Amino acid sequence: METVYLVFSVLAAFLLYLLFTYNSFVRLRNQVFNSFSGIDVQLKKRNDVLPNLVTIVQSYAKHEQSLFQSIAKTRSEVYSCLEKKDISTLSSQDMALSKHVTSLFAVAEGYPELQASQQFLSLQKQLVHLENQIAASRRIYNSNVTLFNSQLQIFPNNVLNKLFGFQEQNLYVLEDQS
Amino acid sequence: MSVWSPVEIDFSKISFEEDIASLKKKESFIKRYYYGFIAGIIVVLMSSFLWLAINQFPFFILFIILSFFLFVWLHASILSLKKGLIKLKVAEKNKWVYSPARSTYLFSLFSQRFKRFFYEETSTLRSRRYTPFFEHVFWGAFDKQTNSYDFMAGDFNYYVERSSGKDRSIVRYTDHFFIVRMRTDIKGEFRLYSKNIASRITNFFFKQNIVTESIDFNNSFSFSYQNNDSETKVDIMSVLSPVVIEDLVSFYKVKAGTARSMGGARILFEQECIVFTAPGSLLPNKKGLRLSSLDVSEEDTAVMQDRLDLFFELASKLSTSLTNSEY
Repeated sequence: METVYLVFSVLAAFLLYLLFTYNSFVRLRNQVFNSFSGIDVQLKKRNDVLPNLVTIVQSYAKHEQSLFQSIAKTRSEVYSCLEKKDISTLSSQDMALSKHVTSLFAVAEGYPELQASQQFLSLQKQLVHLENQIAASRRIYNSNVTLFNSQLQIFPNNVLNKLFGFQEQNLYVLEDQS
Repeated sequence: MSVWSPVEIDFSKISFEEDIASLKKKESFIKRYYYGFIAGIIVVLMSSFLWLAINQFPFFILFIILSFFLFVWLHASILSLKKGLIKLKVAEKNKWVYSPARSTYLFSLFSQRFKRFFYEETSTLRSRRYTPFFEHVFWGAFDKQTNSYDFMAGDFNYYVERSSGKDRSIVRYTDHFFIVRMRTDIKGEFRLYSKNIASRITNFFFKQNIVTESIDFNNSFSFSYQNNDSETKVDIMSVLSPVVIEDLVSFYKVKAGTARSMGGARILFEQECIVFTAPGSLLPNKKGLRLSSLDVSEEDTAVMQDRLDLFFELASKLSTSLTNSEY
């Protein structure tokens, strides 16, 4: 009789362990998705601010059409990647857009009147602020992904995950297109 | 005296000049009689062996204990004096106001203004026999990125009664606090405090749990706020931008668990100011029994300055994020 109790106890403990492990994987995965939505929000905010900045710089630097077109193209690429949740392409487009923004500020430096414009300065400040928020969101996302992936890889979780089938998530690594 | 404080302080009740004069008097006293104290300790120690030589074992033990206590007293005096001298030098260098003395008056004012923060959260096991006090308090301003911020900082000491069976003991805890004047968009107030079993239970029953996008942050902090409605939650989430979350996690990693504490690392956000508390003294004790330990070097003041700079940096970053929340 005692053996039966013992077997049942071990089985119950194992089932509880399975339950807790499964739930903790679900929680972690949801946190990863949640932190990706944080990047999504910040990138969309940047995409909303950018056209205003481009318009104001365009009114001074009319000959920089190729830069303005690249910004518009990359911006729509970022939107499309966000829709598809395609992290690897998104990271490269995000990096490209950040570079374009830097070029835009460099162009603006050649126009002292533009530099004195309150509207330009305010938009520039907003964009710098958003870039900082995006960078922080990326780090938070990567930290969550690392934690989630580590949980999936450590023993005995890696064995149990064969049963659960959770997929490891990709880090948000900024890739240079050029 | 034009210094900022989140509560109305009657500065006539704080004897700045006398306290600093007493600190300097203590310094000159120890410096003057240092070799006398050392000689005294050696004499007591040597005489204990004389007692042993004439088979007076109880006196031998008594004198050994006496020399030990004299040594501990001298050591503790030098350490505490050095702490005061470092802080005084930092205050003089930055033109801040500094009060080294223990003040139950300041504690009573601040525990009324920030009742839950300075009073209730550490009151569960607090001894009724000893009154908590503030010590080594600074008032001043610092500049970061073209902005100037008023602040006050210091040590907050309280006593806790520990009992096991019939034995009862009183343990003194020291936390340090930093209060920075900052106009924020926060309606009401909310607090963040180190996560522990009690906070997990409270959050479970009162549903005061806000999940941010950072696992590190969620594992470090619990929330507490007055109105448990969705508007308050939205307000809090708008304050906790990714940059703020990262800064608070780094603050937690640096500050939490560095010393014993009832409160741990805690942050209170209000419309007018932000209050931080963390375990341990603002300036931990340094080793040293030599007379030269009392000379305050640039290195000593740099340690103190670094500890304050951590708060200055965090406050300025928070200010940038909090005032830009409309973006």
